[in-house]
Amino acid sequence: MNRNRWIALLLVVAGIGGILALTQRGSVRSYVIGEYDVVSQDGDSYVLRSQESVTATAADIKGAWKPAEELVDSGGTFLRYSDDIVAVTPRAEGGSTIYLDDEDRGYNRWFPYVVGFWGFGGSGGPIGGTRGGGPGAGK
Amino acid sequence: MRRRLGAATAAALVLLAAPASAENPVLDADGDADVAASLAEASQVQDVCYGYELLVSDQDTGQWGGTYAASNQGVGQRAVPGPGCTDAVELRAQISYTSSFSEAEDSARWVLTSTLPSLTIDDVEDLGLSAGDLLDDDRSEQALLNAVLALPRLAAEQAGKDPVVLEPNTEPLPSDARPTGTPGSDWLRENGALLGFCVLLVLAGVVMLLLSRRPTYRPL
Repeated sequence: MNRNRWIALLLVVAGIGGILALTQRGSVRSYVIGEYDVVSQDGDSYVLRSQESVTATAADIKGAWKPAEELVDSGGTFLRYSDDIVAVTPRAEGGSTIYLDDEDRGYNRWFPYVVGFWGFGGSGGPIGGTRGGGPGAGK
Repeated sequence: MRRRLGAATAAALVLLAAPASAENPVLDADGDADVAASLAEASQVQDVCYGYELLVSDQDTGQWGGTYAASNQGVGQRAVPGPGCTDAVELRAQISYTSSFSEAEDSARWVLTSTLPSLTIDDVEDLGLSAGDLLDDDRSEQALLNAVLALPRLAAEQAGKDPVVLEPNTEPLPSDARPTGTPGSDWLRENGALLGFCVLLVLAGVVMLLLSRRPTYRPL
């Protein structure tokens, strides 16, 4: 077998190996549960504790799994994923609390903060293209 | 006197030529109200005034030019130390829309004016936010909201102010409440680039294999 064939085989094996390795990656849910201390659990909902600040904790989670959307409030950060909502809020004693919920429960729990951005209901109208506006064609 | 009259006439002409009411290109009235309400809550906890001021220069249509502000003291109000707060932190952003006939690019920048010395614009940008996002219609609103609303949290972390603790909702939701939009696959968002690279490796390898199998012509 000549040298080119060896290189070609190496590329194929490396590519397939890489794809297999990627499929073994878990999810933001498994990452958060594995990385932080679980304080309580109720079904799919978890409350976890981090010794780090909200900024550091949110950055760690975002670094591991990029969220689809991020919403910041004066008290915390909300990260939206395909099936989960992660909220990181400060603890008065220091560190932060992480709330991990499925989308419906997370929306319910943080409704006053996320309504109008990730959904609607009551007086909070639908957002996403209706607010702001801007000049349209920028340069 | 004549010069004064001339200047007054010119000023009147400029005023007449300007649009009746400029529009904030980033946040609408609802957005400003959200900012003011959220910052008012934080200000009560921390004794710090928070807000933003946005200066827009629109040399294109003139529709967006103006100065806009919102703070814990209300929509249109700047964040300044006063009876309600001993410190003030304000995000001051500037957007310049150039004329469509000009080759110059639109631009945006921001600074943080703060009486809390440990809080700087670097802390805001370390959150992954950039003034350039203010030029992107799809991201400008969220970028400004996230930057301004992060200030109380950053003050808690960097300047030792009390944190604003969020209260989870315990009330039943309105009957029509539901999340909207589809966030898309987390896995693809996180691994899409690496997946593409791995697929390219496999394809390159297969192509090389096929080429190496091609019978080589040997002259007799």
